[in-house]
Amino acid sequence: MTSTLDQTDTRRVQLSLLDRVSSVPWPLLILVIILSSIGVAMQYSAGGLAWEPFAGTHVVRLALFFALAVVAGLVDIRVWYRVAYIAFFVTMIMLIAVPFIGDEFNNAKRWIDLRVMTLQPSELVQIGLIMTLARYLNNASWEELGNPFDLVFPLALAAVPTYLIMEQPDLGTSLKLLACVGVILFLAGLRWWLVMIGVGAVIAVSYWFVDRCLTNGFEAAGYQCRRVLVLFDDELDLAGAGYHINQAKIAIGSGGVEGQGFGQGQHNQLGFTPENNTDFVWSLLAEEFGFIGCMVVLFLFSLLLLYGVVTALRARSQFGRLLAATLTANLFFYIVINVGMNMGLLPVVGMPLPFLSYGGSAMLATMGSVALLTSIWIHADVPVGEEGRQSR
Amino acid sequence: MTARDGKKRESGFTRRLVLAATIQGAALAGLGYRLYSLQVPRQDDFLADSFDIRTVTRYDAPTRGIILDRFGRQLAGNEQSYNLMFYPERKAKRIETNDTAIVRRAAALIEASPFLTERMIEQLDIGQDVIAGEGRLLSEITAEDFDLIAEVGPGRWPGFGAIERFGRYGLTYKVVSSRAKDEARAIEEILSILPLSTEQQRTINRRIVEAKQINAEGGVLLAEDLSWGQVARLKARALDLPGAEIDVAEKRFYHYPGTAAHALGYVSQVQPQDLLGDNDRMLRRPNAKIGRKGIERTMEKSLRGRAGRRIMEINAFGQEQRVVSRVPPIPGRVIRSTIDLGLQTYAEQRLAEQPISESEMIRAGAAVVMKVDTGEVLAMASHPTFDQSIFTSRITNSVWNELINDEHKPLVNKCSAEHYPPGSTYKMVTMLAAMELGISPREQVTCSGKTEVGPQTFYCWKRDGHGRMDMEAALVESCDTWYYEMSQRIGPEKMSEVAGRLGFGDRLMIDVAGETRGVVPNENWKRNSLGQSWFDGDTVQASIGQGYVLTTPLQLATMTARIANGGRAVRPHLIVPDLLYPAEDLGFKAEHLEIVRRAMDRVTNTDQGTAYRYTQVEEPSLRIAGKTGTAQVARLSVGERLRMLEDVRSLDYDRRNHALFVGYGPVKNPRYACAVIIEHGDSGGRSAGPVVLDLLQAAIVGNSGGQPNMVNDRYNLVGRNDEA
Repeated sequence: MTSTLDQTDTRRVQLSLLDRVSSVPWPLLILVIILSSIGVAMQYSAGGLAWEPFAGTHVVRLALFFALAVVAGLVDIRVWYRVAYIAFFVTMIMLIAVPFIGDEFNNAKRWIDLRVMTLQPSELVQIGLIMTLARYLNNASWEELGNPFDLVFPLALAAVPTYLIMEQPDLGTSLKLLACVGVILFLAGLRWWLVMIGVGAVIAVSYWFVDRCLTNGFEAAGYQCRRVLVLFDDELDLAGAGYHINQAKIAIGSGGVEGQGFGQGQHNQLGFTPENNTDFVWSLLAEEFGFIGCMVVLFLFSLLLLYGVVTALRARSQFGRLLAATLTANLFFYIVINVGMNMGLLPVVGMPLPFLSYGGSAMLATMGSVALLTSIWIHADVPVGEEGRQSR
Repeated sequence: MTARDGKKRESGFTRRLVLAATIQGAALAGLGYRLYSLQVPRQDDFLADSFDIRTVTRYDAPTRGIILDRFGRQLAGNEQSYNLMFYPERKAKRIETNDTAIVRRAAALIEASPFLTERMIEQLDIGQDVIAGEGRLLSEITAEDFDLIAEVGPGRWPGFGAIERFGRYGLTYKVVSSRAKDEARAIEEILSILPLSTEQQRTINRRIVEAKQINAEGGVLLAEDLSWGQVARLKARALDLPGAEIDVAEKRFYHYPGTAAHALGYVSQVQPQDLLGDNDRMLRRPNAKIGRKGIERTMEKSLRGRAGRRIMEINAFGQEQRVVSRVPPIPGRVIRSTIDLGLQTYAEQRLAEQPISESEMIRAGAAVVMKVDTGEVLAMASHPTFDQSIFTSRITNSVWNELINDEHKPLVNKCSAEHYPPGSTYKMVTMLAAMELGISPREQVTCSGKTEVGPQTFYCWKRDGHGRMDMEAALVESCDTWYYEMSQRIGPEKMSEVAGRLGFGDRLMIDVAGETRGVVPNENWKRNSLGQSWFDGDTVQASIGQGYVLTTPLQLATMTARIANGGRAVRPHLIVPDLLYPAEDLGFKAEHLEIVRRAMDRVTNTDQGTAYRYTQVEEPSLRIAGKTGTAQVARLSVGERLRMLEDVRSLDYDRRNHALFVGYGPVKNPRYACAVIIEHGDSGGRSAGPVVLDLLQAAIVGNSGGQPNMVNDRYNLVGRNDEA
């Protein structure tokens, strides 16, 4: 450990507000503003070219959460490090409370009514869990990660929320959570043989599931199975499990290269693609703005993800690196699962598209991620946790 | 933690993150590729799918052509009717719904009785069976028939199948695209192998048509003839009733139920045979009606019009958003009939009120009035009549059975579809035939009351005999003996030839179908249809319109018109034609016809005439000429004959003679001809004569100044034809 580095670290332990503001990652924030604006436009179209009932609320929420995110992004990374466990604890309390005080909608209990907004703790607990794991792994050495028994604690930590979310039921979100856990362990330095076992297990389980669905036949299959089976057959159960995918595909396909025009996507405007302001907003975008519009949005998302990756690479602390990379992966999963299910590549689950989908909790989680990424970017060189203590 | 360890962690992290980012990039590229493959090459397919899903096609019924009388008064029109339709097909287009619950909701909204509610649910089930299920259940069948149909059906009888449920068996039918001829054969074969009553066969036929209609429409008819209130309630709750639609249709409306029922005909449910060779969309709407009998049937194609087509955009809840394209229906042609409503009404009333004896009223009869110069039928009354409007709504089996089992056949048009022995009204034929063969009108025959021809003895109606009779006197007094004697000189060929020229033995109507030919016997006819040879006695019988001779009242009226108009071949018609060709000459000599007409005048207006007591008129412009006919329908014994003369009521109704009368008027410059038959009316002069007189006078007076209502005024007919 060279003294230069030590001195640099020590010098930068406390950044002035001016320092922080001057190193805010403007491109990231501008990307967020652009994507949010597209989201507002889509909400405006989904509401029948009106501010009511979606676009108005959406723009207010975005503005509010964005402002909060900028403020939170200026907060020292070490504060976030310190509150990581608390954040997890608080979000876990909310998640546990859902079965008791939650609201039911579409046969799922996911929401808590907070008067000003309904909160979906499953969205927030992901951030809490990722922060907690990042903090835990920040303090785990390369050697420790080589010992499978040291994985018991983080896995146990992840298992509880995963189970609770699966019970809501919200299979998509719980699997995404597991995937994030996998990503953070992988990035932290999980041994390759364990990674291979994990990947193998995922493939085996998927294969077993699909195979079982196929053997049982459509009628006997449960609704999870049906959602998978309709991916393989365009004509299957068009009134039931295949309805969303079929309608979304038709709407997307109708968009063509240039799209039908803003507010002109008839298939969406007449209500044949349900939930086209939330989980199926992609089909609305695709019908009205076509291939060009969708590629622009995908490109913007790619830039956002790239920015997250660069943030992770720039960070000097393991906490910052893991947190930035996993939050980015989480955003990636949102995008891939949502867009993939819209286009009939993945089974239909409850999965919003960041910035574009209506809904406060996911937006809070997304903006929270933006805030953390901003903080990590600003405090890229700040040592965190035991590293920091050690260097002091 | 060592620095080395930290380095290892960092470099490991960097490598792994680059790998993860690469995977992310690849995944996003994959999404881009999927996007491309959905949107760029397949856009047209998806646009077509989208159009298909968000639009529905509805066929709009055209207004059925109205039927007017000759003065433009509406006889058959239409009234608006609101029907509740349900389209289960929508189910495939939106999120799963409980159709039964929707139908129950609709039933509650229209306050349907429990019975109607059940029928609505049943209709829904039928619709689902036809559109998406196993097919329409046609009939219950036995286990053996089940085996047979299950085995043979699929190959030989396309569409037909057999199902088993709870140990019982059923015959099902599903619409398959096969050739109409194959299907007709299949229906025929299946109906012939299954032991079914005619009623069951009727039911099966109806169900097959219903299945076709439901299949073509994609929906079922839940309830008919909704009130305004019911429509309003349904519309207000349309959001809760996805798949339910109000169909604005029109229903045939007969302004004067029962009047001219046989001439107009009626509309009723489509039958399987109606669909053969007629691909019109209109016949495949649920509960479609088709014209039966009379003008409604003959002019069906013109009256029906052409269906319009509407493509509407709907939202996911099945509510109409806008009309994408619309081809308006083409209304059916307006048909102007030759019927004079006033005269028709009067004819029916007059027939219905005619007594056949001192204490008995008419049970069945017919009257035809036509213009002698054109053949336009002004009135065509058949008694008893029926209410055409009962077929407009679903007719129950009991009503139907009552109608077809009525011994007086109300559904049969006795003017043209029923034939009768004409009796003495046929004597003009024999008379003209005699003159054409050069027999002098002045030649006399002595009537002693009977004539012997070969081994048989033929009696004149007047037992004491008429004494010496010339040609004219023989018609005036209706002396049978004269005709018996002359028939032997005329022979059957000449007699049938003249009869043919006067319109007998053939269908005469120019425009409306449904006539019977009647019979004009001769040697050929008898050999061909009875396989027997001709006897002189047959000629004797034919000469007075008995024996094998059968004619319709329409033919009798036509004959009278042809005699009255100077021998021109007018043909009766019920629809005012665009163009009427002048009738050709029948080749009768004017002086021959003149003699016949003079004789007919004397029948009614001189005291020797057989109808004098009933038809004599002082006022010259209202005088009519005519001929009585009393046709024997059963071979009566001498005792019966004597009893009949004393009191006709002592004889069984159906053994009594038919009463006929043909006439024209006015005597000078004849304009109208009329024929009346009163079934079992006993005496032509007494029963039928006054009817003919009244009808001809009504025609003469009613049309003299082109004032249609004069008939009403004069005869004080109340209400029925007042259009105000």
